[in-house]
Amino acid sequence: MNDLNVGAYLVKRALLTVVVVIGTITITFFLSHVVPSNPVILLAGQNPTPEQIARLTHEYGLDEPLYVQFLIYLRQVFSGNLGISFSFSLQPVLPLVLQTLPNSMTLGALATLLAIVVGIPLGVESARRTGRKFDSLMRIFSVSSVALPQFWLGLILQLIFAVYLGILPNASYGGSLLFFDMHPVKTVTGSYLIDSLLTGNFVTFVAIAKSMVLPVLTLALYPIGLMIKQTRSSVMAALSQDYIRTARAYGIKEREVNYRFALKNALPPIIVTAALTFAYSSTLGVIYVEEVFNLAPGLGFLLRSSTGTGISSTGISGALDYQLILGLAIVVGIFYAIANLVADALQIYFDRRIAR
Amino acid sequence: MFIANRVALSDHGTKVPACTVKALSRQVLCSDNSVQNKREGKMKTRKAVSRTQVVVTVVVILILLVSGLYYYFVTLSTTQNTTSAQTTPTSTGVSGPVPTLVIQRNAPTSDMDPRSTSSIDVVQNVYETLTYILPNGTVIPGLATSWTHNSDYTEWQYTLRQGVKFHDGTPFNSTAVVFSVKNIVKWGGGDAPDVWGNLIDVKATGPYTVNFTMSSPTNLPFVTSSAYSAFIFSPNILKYSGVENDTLALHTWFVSFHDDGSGPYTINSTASSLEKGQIELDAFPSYWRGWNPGQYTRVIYKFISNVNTAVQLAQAGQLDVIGLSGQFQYVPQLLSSGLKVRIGPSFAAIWLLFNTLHQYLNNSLVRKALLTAIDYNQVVNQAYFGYGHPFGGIINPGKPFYDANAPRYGPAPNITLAKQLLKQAGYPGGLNVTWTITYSTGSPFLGTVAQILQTNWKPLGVTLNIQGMSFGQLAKKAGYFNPQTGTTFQPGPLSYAKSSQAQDILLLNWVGATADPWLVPNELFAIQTVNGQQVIIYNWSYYTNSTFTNILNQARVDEALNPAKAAAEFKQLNQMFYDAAPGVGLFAEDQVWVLSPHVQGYVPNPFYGFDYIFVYQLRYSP
Repeated sequence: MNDLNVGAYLVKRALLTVVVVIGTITITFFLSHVVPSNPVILLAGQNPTPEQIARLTHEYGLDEPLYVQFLIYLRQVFSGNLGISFSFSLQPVLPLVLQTLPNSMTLGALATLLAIVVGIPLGVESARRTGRKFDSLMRIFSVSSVALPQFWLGLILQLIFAVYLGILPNASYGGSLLFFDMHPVKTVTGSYLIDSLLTGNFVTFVAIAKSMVLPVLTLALYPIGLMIKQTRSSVMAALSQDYIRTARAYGIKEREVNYRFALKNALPPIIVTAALTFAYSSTLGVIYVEEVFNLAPGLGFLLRSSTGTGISSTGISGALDYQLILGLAIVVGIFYAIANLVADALQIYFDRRIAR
Repeated sequence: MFIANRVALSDHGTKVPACTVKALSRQVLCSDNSVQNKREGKMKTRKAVSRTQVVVTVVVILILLVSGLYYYFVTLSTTQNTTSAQTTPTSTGVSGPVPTLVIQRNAPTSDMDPRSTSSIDVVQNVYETLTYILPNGTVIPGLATSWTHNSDYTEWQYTLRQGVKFHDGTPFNSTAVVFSVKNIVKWGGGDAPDVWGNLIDVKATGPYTVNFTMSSPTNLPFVTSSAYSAFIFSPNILKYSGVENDTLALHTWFVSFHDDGSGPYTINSTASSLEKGQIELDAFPSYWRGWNPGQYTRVIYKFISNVNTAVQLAQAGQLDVIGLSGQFQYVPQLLSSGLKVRIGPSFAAIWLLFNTLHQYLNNSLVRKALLTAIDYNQVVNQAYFGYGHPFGGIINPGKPFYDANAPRYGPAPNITLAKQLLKQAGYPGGLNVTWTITYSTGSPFLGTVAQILQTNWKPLGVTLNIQGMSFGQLAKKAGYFNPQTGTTFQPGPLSYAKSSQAQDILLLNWVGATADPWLVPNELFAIQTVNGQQVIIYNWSYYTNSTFTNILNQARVDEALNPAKAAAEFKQLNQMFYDAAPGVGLFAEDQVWVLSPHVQGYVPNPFYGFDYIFVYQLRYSP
C-alpha cells in the first residue's frame, strides 16, 4: 500500500462528498418546495396585498419554473451566496448559519467526547463480560438510551437537577436569560464556552460550562448507547481472533489484551460511529436540546424558526423560509460529508488496506 | 514459531487490522505495520508505575478537580443568582436602579412594520395611536386630545396633542398623521383594508388638526384606536430609509429593526439579536407622558417556544411574563410557586366551520343536528382547561352589540333532538359518513376539540378523520389558494369548495384586527368577491347567503349612525346564523398571563390582540 493509493482514495471520497452535497441541495430544494408555502409571506408582513406578493415573488425569482429556480440557486451556491433569510430580517443565510454553528458544534463536540470517554470503556467491558450481568445491563442501557426521546430526557434532567436538587441551571447559556448582559463575552470563535476561556474570563466560563452540563448529558446519552453497542460488537469480534487467544496464552495481561490489542483492532468502526456522532450531535441532535434548554444562538433555533414557527396574532404560521432551510441543509450536509471524510482518513490511518 | 494471522471483520463488515503474534518475541505486528506491543523488557519498564499508583493519582486528580469545580459552582450560585430583577442604569430621569422586564414570546419575529405588523405585542409599545379603547369600550385620548364629527358620521375632525416627540426628537403634528394614514392605506398590507376601508381622504387642517372624510358613517374613534394598522409614525422615516414612494422598500427598512414612533419605548435591537433569540426595547427618555419610579426602562422579549421551559424559567424568577399557549395545566404549579396568574377576556374565539357546499353538509338540518349533539362544556373544559365561555351568535362576548341572549346551541348535548333533526333531514337511520376535519397545529388544543367532536358525533353515524396541519396547508386545503399562480393566501375560486379536496369541517382560532363586531362575521361568513366573482378568502364555510351579507354590511354602517338599528340588525343576523348553522363559535377564549409577583399594574384589555401588555402601565414592586 503506497501513499499514492491513499491519496487517490481520499480524493475519490472528497469528490463523492461534493456529489453528496449536490444531492442534498437537490433533494432539499424540491422537497421544501412541495409544501404549499410562499416565503414572501414572511417578507411582506401580515395579509399582504396580491400586488405586494406578486412583486416580491417576481423580485426573488419565485415565479420562475421550479427547475429554473433550482439552477439559479445552484449558481448562487457555487458563488458562495446561500441567499437571504426572509424570517431573519433579510440577513444573508451563510453568515447567519456560520455564526450560529460554533455554539452547536461545542455542544456536539462535548457530547461526542463524553460518548467516547464513557461509551468505549463500557463497551469494552461489556464485550469482555459477554453474557454476564454487566453485559446484560449495558445492553439494556444502550438500547434504552438510543430509544429515549431527547426532549423528554432533557425535561426529566431539568426537573431533577434544576428544580428538585437546584444544583444546575435549568436553561440558557450561563444559567440566566440576562447572563450576557452582566457578563459580556468577546467574540473570538463564536462559541460562548471557548471564547470565555480564550479571553480569560474564567468565572463566565464556569457559569457557561455549568449551564451546558444538562444539555450535554441530554445530547450525549444517545451517542453513549450507540458507542457502547458499537464498541461491544467490534471488540467482541476482535476478541474472538486467534492472535488474542495466543496473546493470552503467552500471559499478556488481560487489560493489555483488551485495550491494546483488541480495542485497537476494533477501532475503525468505532471511529466512524464517533465521527457521525459528532456530526449528528452538532446539527440534528441539538435541535431538541437547544429548544428544551433555550440555548440560542444555535442551529436548532435557526431551524425551528425557518420552518414556519412565526406565529401572527391570527395564528397564521407555516410559511417556510426556503433559503434558510436550504442553507441549513447544505451546511448540515457538508458537515456530515466532512465527518465521513475524516472517518475515512482515520480508518485508513489505522488500516491502510481499506484504501485498496 | 506459532503464527496466527487473519483479517478480522466487524459486525458491519468493516475491515479491521489483522494482527500477528510473534510468539517468541512476544511482539504483535498489525497489518498497518504498527507494533501493538513491545518487547517484554519494555513492558516490564512500564510496570515501574504500578496500577495502584495510577489509580491513586487519578483519584487525587479527580478529587482536586471536583473540589475546584464545586468551589466555582458554589461561588457562582451565590454571586450569579441573577433574576429578571436585574438592574440597568436609567436614562429616563428616574432616580435609582430600575428593573428589566423579561417577556416570553413563543416565536421570533422581525415584523416591526407598524403599518401591518402582526407582532403588536412588541410594536404597540413603540408606536401610539390617536385614540385608545379602555377594556369597558370607552374611547380615550391618545395622540389626539379630542374629536368631533358631522351629523352623518362621515366627517371627523381630530385635535392633536402638542408637545409629543418622535424617537428622533422631531415633533408630532398633523403632517405625521396624514403621512402615516396615507402610507398605511397605500401600503395596503396587514389589516389596513379592514381598518381604513371607508376612508376617502385625510387632510391637515392646521398644525394640530386633522380632518378625516369617510365614505359611509363610521365610528372613527374605534378605527383610530385599532390595535392594527393605525399607528402613527414620523415622516422622517423616508429620509432615514432612503426610499421614496416605495412602500415595500420601506417595509424592509422596518423589518431591519428601525423605528421612529412616539411610544414609550424604542427598538434597541439588531438583526443579530434575533439569532440570540430576543428583541430588546429601551425607554424613550422624552416620552410625553413622562416616567415615574418603578417603571421598566428596558424590555426584553425572549423567544421561548417550549412552554415547559418558560414555566421553569418563570419559577426560577428569570421570566416576568409568560403566556401559556393553551397549556393551562401549568396554572396550579405556577400559582403554588408564588407567581400571579391574570385571566382576562379576549376577542379570540374557536370557530367551527362546515363546508356548506359538500354533500349532507349542504343541508342546514344536518348542520343543526351536528351542532345540537356537541357537548360545549366538555369542549371548553377538556380542550381549554375551562378558560373559555360558550357563546351564541356572530359577535364575541365583550364586543359592542354582543347579545348575551342570542340563540345558541348547547351547552349540553341533546342527542335525541339531533337524531330528530336528522330524521327531518331525511336520514332517520343516521348519516353513516366519514368526514375530514382540519385544524392548524399552531393551536394544538384544537386537536383535542376535534377528538371531542369525534366522540360527540359518533351516535349520529359520523366518523371524523382528524387532520392537523400548518396554517398555510390549512389555507390551501380550504381554497385560499390561487391555482393559476400556485400561491397560497391568494383568493381562490368558490367552485373549489365543492371538490373532494376541500375539507368537510374546519376548526379555527380567530381574532379580528379591530373590535368592530362586523369584522369577524364578515371575514368568516359573508360573501367575498373579487372583480364580481365569488371567491374564497377566509370564508371557509362557503356560506353564500346574500341577505346575510347585505344586512351585515348595513349593520356596519348603522353602528355609528344608528346604534339601535344596528343592534336590531345584529339580532336578526344572530337568528339567521342560528337557523342556517354554517358554523358556530364553540367558545370565546380567555387570555391567561403569568406574571412575576414583582410586576404590578397589568390590566387585561381585549381590544388589543390577545390582551397584549402595554409595558408602560406596569410597575416593578420589590
